[in-house]
Amino acid sequence: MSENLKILIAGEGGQGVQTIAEIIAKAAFVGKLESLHIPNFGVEQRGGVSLAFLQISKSPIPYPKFLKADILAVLASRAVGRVEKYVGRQTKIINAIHLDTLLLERKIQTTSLNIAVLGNLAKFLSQFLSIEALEEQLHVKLADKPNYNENLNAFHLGQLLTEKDAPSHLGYYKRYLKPLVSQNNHIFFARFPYLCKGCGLCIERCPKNALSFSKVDLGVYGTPMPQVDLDKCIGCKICQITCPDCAIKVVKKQKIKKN
Amino acid sequence: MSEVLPSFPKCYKEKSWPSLFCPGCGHPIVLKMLGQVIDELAIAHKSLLALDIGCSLLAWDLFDVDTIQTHHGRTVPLAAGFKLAKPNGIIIAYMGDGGAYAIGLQSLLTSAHRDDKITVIVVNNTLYAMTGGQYAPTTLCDERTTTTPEGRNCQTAGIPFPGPETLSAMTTKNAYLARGSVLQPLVLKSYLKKALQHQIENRGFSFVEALSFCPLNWKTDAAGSIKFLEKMQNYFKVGEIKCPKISKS
Repeated sequence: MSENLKILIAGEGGQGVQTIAEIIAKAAFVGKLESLHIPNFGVEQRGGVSLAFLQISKSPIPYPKFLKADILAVLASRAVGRVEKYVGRQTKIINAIHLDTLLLERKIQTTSLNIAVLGNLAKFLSQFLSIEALEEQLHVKLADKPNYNENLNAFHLGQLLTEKDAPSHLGYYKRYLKPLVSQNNHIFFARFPYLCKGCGLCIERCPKNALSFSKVDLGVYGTPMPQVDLDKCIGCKICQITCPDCAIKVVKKQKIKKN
Repeated sequence: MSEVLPSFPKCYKEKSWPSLFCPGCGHPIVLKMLGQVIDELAIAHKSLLALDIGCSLLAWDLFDVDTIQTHHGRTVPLAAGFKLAKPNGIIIAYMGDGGAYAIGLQSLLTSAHRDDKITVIVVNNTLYAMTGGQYAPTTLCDERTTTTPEGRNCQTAGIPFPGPETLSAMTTKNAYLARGSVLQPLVLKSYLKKALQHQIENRGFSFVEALSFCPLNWKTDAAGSIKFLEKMQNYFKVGEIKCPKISKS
């Protein structure tokens, strides 16, 4: 690994992407290394994508931007599209998108997901930073918070993650985010969060009022996506035709209906 | 089922999506129908899409079709010129109502009068959307825009400009004139298909006006946009204004 380590952490607003970037940057600074942290601000308060560009080096850092990251940590599926271009051949990927299920199994709240990723990052940073140094900064930053012990547990869990928990590839997410599919015997209904802008035209045009705004799923601008009630849906495809951005795909399973 | 992909027309450039259009804009619906028609007629390799200034230029780079950007309102003369130079090529002039009926009206009328073998698609949303919703020739009576805060006064400012009806008075019987709406996308698609076939068979001038949403400047939500468009359809009658009979011989 080169003398200048370039790290990119990507997630959703509110996940604590900038927090862990700050902890690493400060640990490096205290350890008398050069460190640089550039947060990428956007509409993250509304649930947009949040990126942290981080560099650690033993010599002065010449330029704040970089073209390819050495380490890429991805915390949320929606961030993948924004960071794809920073992936080079040497890039080590930490794909923590589905880590929340493991955390819940261990009775750790998903709010500590970022600290688990920090724990996993620690093993890549060993050339520059010791685990103790990171733990010390973690203490400085978060000791006052009520869930500090939970965060510590997540930090130790993160160091032990395997390839299965946090894959080193971006998988399906390469071009399109995985569609949200709901289906029953008659209808296959796919929605693409990457394309949906949340205009609501499909909801208004649905003749059976089968569509409504979801309280969970978000589209590309962080706006609510429509969700379908398959019991009401007749597969007329009006939503698919109306959708300006091709974010809905409906397939009527005729073969099954004939039987 | 293997990988599920969005139902894009084949001539779309997938890299460019999601598009730059606002949420709830009508342009992508018209473009989607146009894309499907280009697919069905298999003319992507010999087509040229000419875009006007305004929101229509955001269609730049959305298609895997040759695209050209013109000055404001000069899309129709460019299309006529292309057709003179390349009679077998297919030209699609895609413009907004401001470009077609205000600054580019003279070009449009002349071209229709000459019966140029081109296809013109005009997207009508009753105002200049890109510059902030100013009043346009097509603004409805009593409609509030940023420059008509008390509503358009039709006694002093004239009636909303009826595009295809005006053209029908000065075109020959060869011309194809229609008005569709994004509320009935498949009907609009059939008009677009007829218009392009008209050009492919070299029959004459073809023109489709598409009534469209502008939720940003109308300041409406989805339900309000649909309601407003229905109001527009009361004035701008949807249908084929001039459709030459095709002899099958």
